[in-house]
Amino acid sequence: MGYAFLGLFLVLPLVFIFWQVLAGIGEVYTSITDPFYVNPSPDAFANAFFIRPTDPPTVVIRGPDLGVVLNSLWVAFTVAAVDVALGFVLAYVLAKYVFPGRTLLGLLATIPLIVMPFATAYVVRKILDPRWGTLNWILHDVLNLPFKVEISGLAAVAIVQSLMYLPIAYLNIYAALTRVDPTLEEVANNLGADERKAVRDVVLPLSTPGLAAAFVLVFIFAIDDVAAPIIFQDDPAARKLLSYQVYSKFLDQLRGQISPTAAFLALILLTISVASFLAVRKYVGLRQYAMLIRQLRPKSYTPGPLGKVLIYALSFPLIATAAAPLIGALTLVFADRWTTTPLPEALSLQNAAARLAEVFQNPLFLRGVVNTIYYGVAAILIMIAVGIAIAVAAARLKGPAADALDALATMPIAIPGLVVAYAYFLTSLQFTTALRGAYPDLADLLDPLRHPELYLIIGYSVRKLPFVVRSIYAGLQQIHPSMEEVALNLGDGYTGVLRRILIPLLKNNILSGALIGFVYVTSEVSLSITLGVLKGVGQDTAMPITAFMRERFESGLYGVQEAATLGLLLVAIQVAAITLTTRVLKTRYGFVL
Amino acid sequence: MTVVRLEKLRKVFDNRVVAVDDVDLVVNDGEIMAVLGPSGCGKTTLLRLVAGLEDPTSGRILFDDRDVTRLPTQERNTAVVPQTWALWPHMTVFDNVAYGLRLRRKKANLTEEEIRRRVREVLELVDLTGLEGRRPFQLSGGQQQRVALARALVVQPEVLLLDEPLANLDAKLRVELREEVRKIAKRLSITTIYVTHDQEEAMAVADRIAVMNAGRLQQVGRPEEIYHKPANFFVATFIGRSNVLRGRVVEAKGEAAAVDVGFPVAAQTPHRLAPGEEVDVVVRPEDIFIGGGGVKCVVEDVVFLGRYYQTTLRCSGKVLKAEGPRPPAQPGEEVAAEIARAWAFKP
Repeated sequence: MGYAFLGLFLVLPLVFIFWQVLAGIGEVYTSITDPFYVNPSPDAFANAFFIRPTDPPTVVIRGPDLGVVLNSLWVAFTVAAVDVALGFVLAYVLAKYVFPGRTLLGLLATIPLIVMPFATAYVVRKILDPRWGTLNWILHDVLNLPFKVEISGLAAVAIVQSLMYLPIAYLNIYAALTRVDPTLEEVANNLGADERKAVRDVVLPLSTPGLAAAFVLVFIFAIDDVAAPIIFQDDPAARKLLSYQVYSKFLDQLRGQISPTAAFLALILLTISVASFLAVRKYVGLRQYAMLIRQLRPKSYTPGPLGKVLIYALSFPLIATAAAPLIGALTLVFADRWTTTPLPEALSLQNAAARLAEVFQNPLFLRGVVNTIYYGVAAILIMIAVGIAIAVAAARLKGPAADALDALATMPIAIPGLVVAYAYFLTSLQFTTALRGAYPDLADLLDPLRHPELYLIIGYSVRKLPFVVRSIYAGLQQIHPSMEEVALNLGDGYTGVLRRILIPLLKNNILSGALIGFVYVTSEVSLSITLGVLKGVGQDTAMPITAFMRERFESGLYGVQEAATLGLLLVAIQVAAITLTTRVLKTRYGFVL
Repeated sequence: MTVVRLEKLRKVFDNRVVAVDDVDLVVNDGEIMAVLGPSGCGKTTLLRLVAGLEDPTSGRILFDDRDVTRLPTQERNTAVVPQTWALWPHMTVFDNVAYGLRLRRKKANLTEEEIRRRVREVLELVDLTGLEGRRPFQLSGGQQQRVALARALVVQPEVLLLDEPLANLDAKLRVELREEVRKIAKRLSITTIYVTHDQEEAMAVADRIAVMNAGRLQQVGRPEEIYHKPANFFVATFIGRSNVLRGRVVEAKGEAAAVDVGFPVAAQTPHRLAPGEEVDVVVRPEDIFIGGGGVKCVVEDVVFLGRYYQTTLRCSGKVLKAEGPRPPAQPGEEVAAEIARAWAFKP
């Protein structure tokens, strides 16, 4: 069942992209050799960093423009490098030191995990605004520094993504550090190694695969991200990223402009992501995850006075900076306005109440909420059914078949959502065109322009399946095979064993996997803003909340605050799910490899 | 050679769990002291306190006259072999063993050549010559245990601390290696503390045994003292196999007592007992002799267990298990059973 599901809804559509590229290879070659796509020349660095002679002088940071393909690589690489470096500092402090405020710091570090698409990127744009932004207000007006800073284009996209994905890096690095058996470090201490040497000689080498996996995961997420480029799309440089180009060419396809170049760009995006994933596949498979979530109590040290000062001086400001976009996005709901001031103005509960009332009274927004919940529930049901099948097969089978299933089940983590959207759109169009003559009703049912919901639900299920599978697989690892063997020996069939033995024993894992899957589905962006808009914005719209947020952000100031209010609903869903999974079901949450 | 002295050593976790409760213990220089007790009795915590891997809540730890209580583990010159062995998987056998020496290179003025020589010597001592280039995962359990031991010995510690080092091995290997561990520790005259829950292992390895329960020392002595003169009910029943009968004191004088358990038993006791007092009488199976005089019993079952026959007897309504080299009778037969030795403890 697992093979069939993933084969039909993952592998086959991706093959179609490849086919379209081959069909238009001539056009692809002509397009792709254009410097717009690849421009590794010294000119690319001309406006990367300079000082504009204004009064006061403005330090302009934009990053080099190396063409779409190389831009995507350097931005994603920079984000991953920055996040792993900062994430390591944070993870190390929390994993290895005991100090007052440690629990609070750990809690605050997970705040940026809560996703409020577009809103957080918008807030960073406001913060970085060269004329009225918070950053320049702090630097120039508060600290009286004799210069201003303008961060725009690709550099701004990189900053947003670094803030968005920092908790993912931190959580994975934290897991890697705490996975090292503390006895290994204690023996080093006992033989004479101080903290620094023991960490250098024992902890770091053993947690390097986890660090590498964290780097790759952030890299994949960053290269796939389309929300940040959309928010900064007024700047032409910010549009020169693979994700934005695939997205905008997808919209062109809707207007009838079919482009093999778009397919090729999607293929490049796919190749980069999958290749990165395969490089660390050994460390992100189901078996590795099951070992990983068995937490050990790590060896910890008490910092001296200077250590404490450094911890407080570095960690808390770092967390505050990472959490600032989300906090800023939430204040948009409470603010009267945020236009030409460094901070949102006139915060009040009445504003929030009024905006929430508007959202719930707007039939389109309500429809968006209903769609989101409907897609989430439908996707979960599919993910649970398929996830159980895959997890059981991967856990109980031996040999290459199990390894292949393990790889296939985790691979969707590396498949960019835009690529899935593109592949589904292409495939379904071709399919329904072929069916229309002989089976017009079936063709209508499968037409993505009439019923994108079908493809959204399947797309969400495919993309978020790994998180559900992993949760169930981890639970299976705790159940000895003898439990099933005894039942089989007493005469039960395997379906009965599944129903009467395994599923009851796995109910917590299934539930936590379902909750995690629901959160990821409801906050998903790439599929939502592509397939979700195929029926437009009308009474029967298929748009979920995140698509409405995208639409509202483009419609002006009040649209921004409406989008933030919709985002608040998403936040409420996420917080509820995180609380349930971590406190009640005692499961780790959050993109941990 | 070092004398280890623990004075009123106490460790409380989370302000609630008393893991080590006012322990006083002296380990003489060159002695092997086994700390024996059930799981959760605090023996590993005690070892970690001596190693400096835990800080005591109160009390002192002295090596000879030096108070090491507040010294970090790096500065105590002890060497731990943990239960999991904790071999570093990313290092070869050679690097694992050489690690401690390399840390001491400057202080002890060691050249790389000297380090290599000492590592080779200690690997020879533990019979692992030729395996220097292997990684831990390429070794058997017994070999891994020896590498962990070599790593500890090569730094010439003042105190060697072994935390159930044979627990992860099969029974046959445990027997082989425990003899080796004792031989090596004695040869090098290292003061050794050996934690185990296996009483046979404790008796085979140690010069003296400290029996521990619920954080407290119950008795410290040579193996034969612990076995033949248990200080209390816990020691009597934890060490060896035993029959336990509830009875009442008929007469008591000094360390001797006559107890009625349904039939009369002469018992030794560490307590001052009074007639009429209720006591628990502990009788070892090998101290019950069948066929001479004594109480009338019916044989309920006879089981051959390899080295001996275990006979289940019913004597005046009480069930006793006896052990001996020959089957005394068939099930159902009536026999006379004499109890050669017993202890009486207050419940």
